[in-house]
Amino acid sequence: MGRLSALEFKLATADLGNGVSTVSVAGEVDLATAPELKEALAEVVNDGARGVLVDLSNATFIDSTTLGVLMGAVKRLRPAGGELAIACHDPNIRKIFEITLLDRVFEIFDTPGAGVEHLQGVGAAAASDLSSRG
Amino acid sequence: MRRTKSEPEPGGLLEIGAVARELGVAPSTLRTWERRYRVVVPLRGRRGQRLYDPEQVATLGRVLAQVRRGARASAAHDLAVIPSPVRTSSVRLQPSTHAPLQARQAIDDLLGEPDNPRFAFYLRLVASELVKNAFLHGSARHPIRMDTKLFADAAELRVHNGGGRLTLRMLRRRRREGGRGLDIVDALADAWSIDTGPLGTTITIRLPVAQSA
Repeated sequence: MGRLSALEFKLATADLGNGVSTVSVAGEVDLATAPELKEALAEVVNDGARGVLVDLSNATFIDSTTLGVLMGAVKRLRPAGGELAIACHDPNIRKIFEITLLDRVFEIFDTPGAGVEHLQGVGAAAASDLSSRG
Repeated sequence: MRRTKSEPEPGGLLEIGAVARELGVAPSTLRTWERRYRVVVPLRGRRGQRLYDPEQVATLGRVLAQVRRGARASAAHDLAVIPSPVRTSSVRLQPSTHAPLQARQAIDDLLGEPDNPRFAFYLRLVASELVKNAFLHGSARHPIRMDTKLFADAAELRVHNGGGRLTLRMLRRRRREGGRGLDIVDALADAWSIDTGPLGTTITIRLPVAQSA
């Protein structure tokens, strides 16, 4: 914890195929930095992701603005049968999801691997659903 | 003139009877705390009588408050040996999206290397949320002021912003629109108040250390 943590805010996105993408966050996400997360999430959803894992494994702080951004992404994903999941092992950050009852909205996994595995199934199901409708 | 046993000694020192009366406990309680827990070790007068200085009386008052809230007397020792029982900070932040980060940095400066990282995390979170709230609802022309007081068992955080009156209706509307900042503050604080008027709003919260156990 300290002055460098917020300055080290970093985002990375990866398309894992099969409709699944990850957005990895490092550092502190707050009012100043959450817009970048919002933009990254919009980008992966626009690119066709149906399963999105927000990896908070290297995040040191999130706030209510972050929660608002995550909820916005959920609202865009759900109509298409998509899902947003969280990877987070930090009990303090997990507590924020519990306090706000958002642990009932998002699936929260201890590791990114477990989250991706879960979403691979969701992505496949959404893709098959879309192709059967087409 | 002969002084009675509990009259003030020169230099503002008090004998045990006067201290006990002031605190509302038996003198034997103070002697027991001294013997068993070394909470406060008073000076000794010429006759060997215990003499307490004002700072020691204040320390005993804090210990007693803890005990009356249910703390064990043995824990009183830990309370009393904290070198500086209260630490405070006061910062002025320019209203901007960076104000919450600066609020968290002020908490970092106050806590130093925290011995309770979870409490530090919650205090940073609450400070960040309150300052964000002050930025979003307050005047863009007046600085946000954040005062923090650190006690042995809790922190008190006071955030003031200039600008018009902030009503509960406004806060509720923001909550309906998805704002969860005050839900977080509400869940972590054990007491809070809003003082609002035409010149600004002050939100004060108390964050107990026990919440972070």
